[in-house]
Amino acid sequence: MDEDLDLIKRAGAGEREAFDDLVLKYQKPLYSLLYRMVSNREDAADLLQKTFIKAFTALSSFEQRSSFKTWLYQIAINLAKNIYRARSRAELVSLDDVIIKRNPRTLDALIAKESRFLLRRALVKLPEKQRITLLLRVQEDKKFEEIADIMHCSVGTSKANYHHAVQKLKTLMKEPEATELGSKERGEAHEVHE
Amino acid sequence: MKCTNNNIKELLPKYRKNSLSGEEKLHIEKHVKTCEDCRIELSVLRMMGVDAVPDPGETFWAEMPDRVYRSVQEQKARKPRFSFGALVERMVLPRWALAAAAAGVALTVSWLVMHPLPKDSAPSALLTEESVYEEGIAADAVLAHPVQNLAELTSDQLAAVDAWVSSELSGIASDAGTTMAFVFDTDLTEDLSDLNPREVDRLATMLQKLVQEEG
Repeated sequence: MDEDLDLIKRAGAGEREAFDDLVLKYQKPLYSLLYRMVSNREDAADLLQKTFIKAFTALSSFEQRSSFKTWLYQIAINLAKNIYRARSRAELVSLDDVIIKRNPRTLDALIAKESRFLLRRALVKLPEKQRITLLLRVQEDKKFEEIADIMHCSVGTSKANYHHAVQKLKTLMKEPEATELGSKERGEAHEVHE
Repeated sequence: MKCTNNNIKELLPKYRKNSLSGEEKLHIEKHVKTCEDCRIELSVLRMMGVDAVPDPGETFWAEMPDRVYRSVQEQKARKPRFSFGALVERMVLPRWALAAAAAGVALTVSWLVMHPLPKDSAPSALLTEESVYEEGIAADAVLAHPVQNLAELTSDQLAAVDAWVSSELSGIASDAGTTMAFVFDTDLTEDLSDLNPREVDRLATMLQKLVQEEG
């Protein structure tokens, strides 16, 4: 944290090395988050660059109420939300198409890929806040306190959103077809807002 | 059946990451064997973890700082960002200057309170009583300028203007003949206000035609 503040101060004063250090330090975790949100390399790379540009052009407005990393995550999530929504809709393609495209060699691979497809299909059905909370918790290994900071909510809300997301995923994974109808409404009813 | 053991659920992500102590790990494994709900939850978490992020490559990572730096510099050069803080900084005056400015404002306000301006004292830049008398401007010259406030004219000036208007209008009235008389004799204000633009156009065309015929 202190190291970041020093780098931010020096980067703000125009020191190129500090600027580069900040980008190098956070580019991988941010890219990972963005890729998982948009499921596309080009979009993730583009959003990563945009995130840094936005952060560095507004560096003077960073108020240190949260860590620099959390601030970057907030910017990245906000930028990715639109593409994330569009991708979520695009993910709803037929299972046959996906299997043909991926050309599985073995039955195990087919099952694994089918499971991953089912998981993705279930994920896109989750309300946005639940989905991002789950992603931050499971794939980014964030603590609930950090998720609360990033999502601008209380720790209790982030825990509740995670819990509802997991419950919903389990149901969707067990009975993907049966739960398709009306699943959105039920999921959104559970979404916890501040 | 839905499991309500929150302690286990809290530890499941860590179990997936293999970051639990031996004892905690055994505790989870024992629970998961008998709890279908947690077993499914763990498999969901595992599947999410398996969904790996493809590495864009070393070149991508190495070039990113430079790409970002160039874009930031381009943006700064293209659109200088407005900063309210910087504006305030530039506008900051020494305390004695602020005190002097405040004293000046207070003095001006108290002067205006003690010596209020007359209501109609706004000077007419184009016509004043003094200018008419002192320079002997004729009514024609006076009327050549747009008058902003008729109340400023003296009775002599008004009489001169009235005489000039009468003489000008009498010439126009005689030139217009019957058409002018028709217009003056009939009060059409209310009727005309009811017309729509198309009807007004038609009426104007008719009147123009009538003037041409009479001319």
